[in-house]
Amino acid sequence: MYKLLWSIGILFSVSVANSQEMVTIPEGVYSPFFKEEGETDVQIKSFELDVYPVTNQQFLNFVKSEKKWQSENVSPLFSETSYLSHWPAPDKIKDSQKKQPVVNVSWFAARAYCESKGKRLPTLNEWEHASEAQKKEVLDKILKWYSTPSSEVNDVGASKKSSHGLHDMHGLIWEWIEDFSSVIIVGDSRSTNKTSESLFCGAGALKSKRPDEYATFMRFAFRSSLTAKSSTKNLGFRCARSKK
Amino acid sequence: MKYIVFLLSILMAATTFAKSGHNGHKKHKHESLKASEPTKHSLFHLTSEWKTHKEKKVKFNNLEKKKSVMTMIFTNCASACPMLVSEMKDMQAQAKNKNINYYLFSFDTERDDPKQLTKFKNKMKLDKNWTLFHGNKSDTRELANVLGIQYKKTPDNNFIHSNVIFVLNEKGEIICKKEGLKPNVKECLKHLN
Repeated sequence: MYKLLWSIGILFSVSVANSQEMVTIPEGVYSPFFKEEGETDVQIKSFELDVYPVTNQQFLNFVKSEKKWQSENVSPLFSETSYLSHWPAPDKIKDSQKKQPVVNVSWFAARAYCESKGKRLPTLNEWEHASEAQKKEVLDKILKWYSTPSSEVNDVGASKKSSHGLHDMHGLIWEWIEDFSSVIIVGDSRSTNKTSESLFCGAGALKSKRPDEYATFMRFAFRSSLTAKSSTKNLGFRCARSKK
Repeated sequence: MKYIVFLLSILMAATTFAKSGHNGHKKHKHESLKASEPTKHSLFHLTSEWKTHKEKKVKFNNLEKKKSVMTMIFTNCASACPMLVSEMKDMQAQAKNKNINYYLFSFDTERDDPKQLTKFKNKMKLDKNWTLFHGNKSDTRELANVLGIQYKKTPDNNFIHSNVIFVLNEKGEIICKKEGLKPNVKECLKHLN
């Protein structure tokens, strides 16, 4: 009987460690940074977003049950050699890494993780809206972070909660979004490179509405430099869920 | 006594036979499974489901195991897409190997249903070697990302997208990639001979 209670207790604590707290992000209007001709502000429906980025511990639990996402098994279609390269072994992490956000994960892997939890990656518009990156005080903080060379990654949750109840949207890591590959800067009107123009169909001129927002530009430039199998040591993710 | 020994030996023989038979079967099954497993770089790893212009549901792993040429388009595209398709038609005309499939995957998850794809296929006079595919938003994004194709929907429901044509071998691996809208298809053509 004690044994039974004990195992229920273990099961319960494991499931708590596995589950992620989420908060509801209220609906709102997001004004896209790069606007197409005729593109207007976007109405964003209320949705749920993980409070913290996904940690190494959580991702470890995931690859233990979905072995095809372990670094020794993962298809090169979905990953690069740097995939989970900060872990000491394909199914092991250091104690100090447990609460740190998982990095060195590809878009495919991040997506598979969220799917396994019945969630998805946030879209660009959702992420930008939830991050409140257009608020003056947030912007200052971001600029400060962008200009500091990255050192050791902190644990998640060390920074102050945002007004939406989120931690670490800025200041810890960059995060994957579902439609990162819709950020097309190559065909920019400033580019005089004719060959890159012929790579794209349609009007390739994407103009920034607010050139003063250097931080936002940095974020978009970074996204446009990624491919879905990229993994870098400062890029992680968190999951979102549409409201029923 | 003799009788019992005889019976026992028959029993033993029978079990060993059954065992070896079972083992043999297992081994065989395992091997055939391995043979159909996609190679490391094969697109057949993708588990997404698509609908063809003939309303047939398919996965990458169900595609015919022959060479193919593929790209991503949307059928309402006024400028580059017809060019992409006519480039692929040129490749088909110049290819010495006539046993090649030609695949078009649509970005337009909303408008390019099988009916619309069939209309486009007829309009562009694409023969029986061509198949057009339509999928959901998430699978379309995944395929584009595997191929490294960037795309964005514009306010007027069109798509800005990169123009790339791929040649795939029988195993579903990309063996040639042609970027941009230039008439120079020679590099990839040599794979179609």
